[in-house]
Amino acid sequence: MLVVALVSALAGPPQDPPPVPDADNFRQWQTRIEPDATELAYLRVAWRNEFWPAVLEARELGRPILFWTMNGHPLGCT
Amino acid sequence: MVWSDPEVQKLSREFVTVADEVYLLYPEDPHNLARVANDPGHLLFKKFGEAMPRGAWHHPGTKQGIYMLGPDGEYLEGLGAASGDPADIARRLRTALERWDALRKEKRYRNAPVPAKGVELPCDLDARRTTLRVSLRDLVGDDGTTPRYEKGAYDDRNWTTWIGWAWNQNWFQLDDPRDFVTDGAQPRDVPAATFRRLCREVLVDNVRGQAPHWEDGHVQRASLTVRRVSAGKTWTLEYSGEASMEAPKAALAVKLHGRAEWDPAAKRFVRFDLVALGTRQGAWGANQREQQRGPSPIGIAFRLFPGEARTGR
Repeated sequence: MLVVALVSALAGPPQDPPPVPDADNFRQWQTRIEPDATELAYLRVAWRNEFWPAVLEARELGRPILFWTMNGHPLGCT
Repeated sequence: MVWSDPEVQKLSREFVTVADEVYLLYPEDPHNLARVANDPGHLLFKKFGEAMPRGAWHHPGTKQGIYMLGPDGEYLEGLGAASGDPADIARRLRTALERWDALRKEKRYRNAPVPAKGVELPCDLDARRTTLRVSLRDLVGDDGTTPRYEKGAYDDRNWTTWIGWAWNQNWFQLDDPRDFVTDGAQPRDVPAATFRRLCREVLVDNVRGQAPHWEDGHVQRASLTVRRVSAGKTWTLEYSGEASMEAPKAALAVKLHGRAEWDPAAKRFVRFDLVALGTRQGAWGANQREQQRGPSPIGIAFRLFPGEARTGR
């Protein structure tokens, strides 16, 4: 019974029905969902997308490497 | 928003900047770790990590983080975690550059300018295929607003605050763009196999972190129709549909609507806009939903990847 109560609590209160896309509103929703210029500013860093080729480039140039690595490719390449 | 910070961006231009998936480079499980044991990238990253200050290299465990290293894997600086603090990363970049200045002189590195170039996106897509950029985010926050980052509003240095404005992007490539085209005014179904693949691969809740593709058996409903609403040099196509996926741990149900412009002579899309709105619930292991199992609204938007209009076969 306690487990059921906990699961119910985690599920949260009932929500309003979700919005429905149609011919009149879908472009507004698209704008609302997609990232804006501020959110895409991270692309101003010239990210290479594979580690080893970047190492080879750094060796060729004799430059240091800035490496951003996550579980799941940071550039959404998973 | 570390990488959006102007000071971080300025300092990053001193480096060869690279982003990559950590699990492929340094898997946590012994079986896959053995598979990369002789990989040169793995060995260089391992050399770097083992040169980090005591306690800074997370082993065993995930090696995700932000690292600054010399071209031969020399330790310059590093943080074995994500960061939401631009000032901390800027400080680490400056420290790394101070150490680099000594290292490059000692090892006589060329220190040639890093060429200016654009970000390489995405890494594993076939440039010959029609590509859609898929954006997604929560529609309604706990306070009734659509979450979106605002400078200052989330800068309390608690890394978990990012879930308040999280968004994500995925990529979807069409096997044959003509699957999404008709010359008729009456709605016809986009081929079931095509739309089911789209449902399984990108109608997923990874707004806050990784979520797996749905298995085929998880797809409860999947229907997308297309009709031609006008014809000229390009055809205007309209889409409408619904999809519902349900697994023991999570579920997602959406309705879809959109429009596209198809060039029948070139057999390619010149515009493609599709929106899916609905609800998600449940949690996967890494999508940060344990404390917000829902159901709650989610929005997913598709757009032709800029400049990537591709010819049909």
